[in-house]
Amino acid sequence: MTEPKPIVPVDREGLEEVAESLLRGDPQVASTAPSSNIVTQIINPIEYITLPGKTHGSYSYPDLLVAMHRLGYDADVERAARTLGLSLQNTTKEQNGSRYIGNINWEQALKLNLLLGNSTLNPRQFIDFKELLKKGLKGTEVYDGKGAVIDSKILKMVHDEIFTVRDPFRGEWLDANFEVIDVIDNIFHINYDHKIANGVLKPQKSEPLENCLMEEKYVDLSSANRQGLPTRKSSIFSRKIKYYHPQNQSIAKFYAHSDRVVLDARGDPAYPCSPVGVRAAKIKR
Amino acid sequence: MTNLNEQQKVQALYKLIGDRGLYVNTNADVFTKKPEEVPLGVGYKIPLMQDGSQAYASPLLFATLTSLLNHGTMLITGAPGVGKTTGAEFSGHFFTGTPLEDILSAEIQGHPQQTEEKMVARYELGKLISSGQEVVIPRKFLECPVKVIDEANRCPPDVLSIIMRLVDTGKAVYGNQVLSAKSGPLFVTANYADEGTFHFTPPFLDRFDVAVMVTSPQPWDLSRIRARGDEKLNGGLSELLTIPPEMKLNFENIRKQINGLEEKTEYGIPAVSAFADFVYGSLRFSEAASDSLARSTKGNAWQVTQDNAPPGHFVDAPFTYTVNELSVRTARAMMRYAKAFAWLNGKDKVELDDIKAVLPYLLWHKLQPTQKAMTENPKYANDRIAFVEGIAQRIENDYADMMSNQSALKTYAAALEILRTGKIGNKTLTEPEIKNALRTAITRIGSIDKQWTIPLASQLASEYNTRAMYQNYRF
Repeated sequence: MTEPKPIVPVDREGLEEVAESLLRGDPQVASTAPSSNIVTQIINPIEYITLPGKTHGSYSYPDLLVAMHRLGYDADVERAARTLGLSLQNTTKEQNGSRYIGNINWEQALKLNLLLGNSTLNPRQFIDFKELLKKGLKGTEVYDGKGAVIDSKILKMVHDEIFTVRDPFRGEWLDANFEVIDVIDNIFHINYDHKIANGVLKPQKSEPLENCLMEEKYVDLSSANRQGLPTRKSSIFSRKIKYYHPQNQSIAKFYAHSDRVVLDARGDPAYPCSPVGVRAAKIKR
Repeated sequence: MTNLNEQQKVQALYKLIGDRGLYVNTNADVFTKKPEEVPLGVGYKIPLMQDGSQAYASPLLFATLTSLLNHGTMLITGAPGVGKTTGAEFSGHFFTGTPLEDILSAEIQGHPQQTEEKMVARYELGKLISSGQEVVIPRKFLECPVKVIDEANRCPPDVLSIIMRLVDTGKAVYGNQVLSAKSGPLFVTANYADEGTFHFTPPFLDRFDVAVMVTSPQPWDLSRIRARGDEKLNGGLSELLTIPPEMKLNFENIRKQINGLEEKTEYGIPAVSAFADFVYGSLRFSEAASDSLARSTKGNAWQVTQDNAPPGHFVDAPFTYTVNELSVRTARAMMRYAKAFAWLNGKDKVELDDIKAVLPYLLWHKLQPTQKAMTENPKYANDRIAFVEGIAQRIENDYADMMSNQSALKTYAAALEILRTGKIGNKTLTEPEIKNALRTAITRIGSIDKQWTIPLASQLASEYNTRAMYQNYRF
């Protein structure tokens, strides 16, 4: 008689530990493993930039490794996409030719990163990343995932890809969504640092929106609060970054094109955009 | 254009049929990769194929795939005069190499006076009269590699039941003699219901591997149709029907290649079959049928159905959207067409994208929407393909949910391993230990409030019961 196989694909790693827990009659699996099932290792650490951990008021995060390029299609991504029931491919490319996945919506992008064992930068981390690149271009040493100093030409390429006003349209999703949780008292929440729980995105941080600009303006990103949202308009001489303020049920993304660069906190969570991808980040071990 | 491989020949023939204006429809609705959807202000979305993708019009695509399979069966529906029958005839001719005249002479026209003698076989009258010998002479229909039944729903139910057997098994019985139909595709066309049509029953519809809705050509396609010439003015189409020698197909090779195509695997499990089985399992379950899991299937919900039962525990699960379940026949057709589609697109392995692309066309004519589905979108009454696409999306979401629940899947796999080996690592377990581990696994999986946990837990119980039963026997 042929042994019937499992009816679904299951990663066999750690199976013996789970079997032992069944034998003990544990009601739940005692595991500290992340809720994702496709955790990849960083294949090439020199393609990551070390973002030193920071504290902004009550919010802090550890040292992160941030990918130099937006997430491209490979075998791991294909596996994760299949898990999510997505059909993905590289839809566009960065100026240096590095191709990346677009045409995914915010939720799909965050889930994809999480299933790969990555995280997506939240607005605060993203602005810190911007500042790091800027300092690097002015001569401060910035390190890759192996601890080597990154050549300024590479930093310039990464900075230009994200922040320069030029064609084509390109962008990336950020880990934050916004919602009004009390209409009468107009209590606005920001949710960020999402994880997957039972197949659903759950924010690790959900808190009232702190004082920030709630109008459509050119802004000074160095004024960003601990949640990564600007509190000050830019002067009329440095109108570089456009800002769309949060709305109920909106999400955050950052993009640039021939006209402007935009921190957009009013994005539609369901709407995929072909040139908007996602950047992988990992906690530096 | 020489030295084409078999896939390239089929692709070239597909294009040739369009280029010659024999079947023109640029309404691409099947894509090898999910297309980008560009919204129109009026509420519609227009699909744009992704780089490296392929786009096909479903009627010609599935006529092509059906022609390549051994006993493929295809239902073609649509309004009158949109090319249902001619599309089938031309596809049959080009993809099997059967002369069009042979196809036309073997074709059965559906009408209320249609009889078994006219369709299947007759006795040789001379011998019957002179010596009383019953010598059966099969009709051309059975012997032609391409079988077309035009307007089948104009045949009464008793005639349809003969056709049903033929569709299902490729065999017919006349007198006491079993007659085998020649291997090849069977195309059945049907207009939408009118005062002269009979109803196709669900068991009849289930016999068709695939079904398409033919739409009228786009206005910009008409110029290409005109360009082929007007056969009512200038006679036949003989020149247009010639098959270039370099495009002649080798069916034995093609069928061998399609059959030999393997699936992509994930953790050693064929991933496409796993998804197909999940689709089958998702629609099989019915809370309305019974309180016993052994009988809680749609097939057993014959009095209190998914439509007239009070709401159950899972109010939005995919199974709540269909009255009926899928047959084993359908489960097998899913893999067959996914393989053929992957082969046509030159892949060396069948992937999830392949089954997702063909799935709506394999299911829409079989699945009956519930009132709940119709209330959510009344247009599902017309557009059953959209109905199935909606269900497929829900099933995909559930599948993703299950695949992301690592804890449940590992519990399931660990329990299965214990049942099959009786061990954890090198440690041999006692029977009570095995049973306790299994009980814990079922309780743990069952604590997750999702429909997909039911088959996982049930499979564990089933394996345990089978194992225990064979151990109790001493052969």
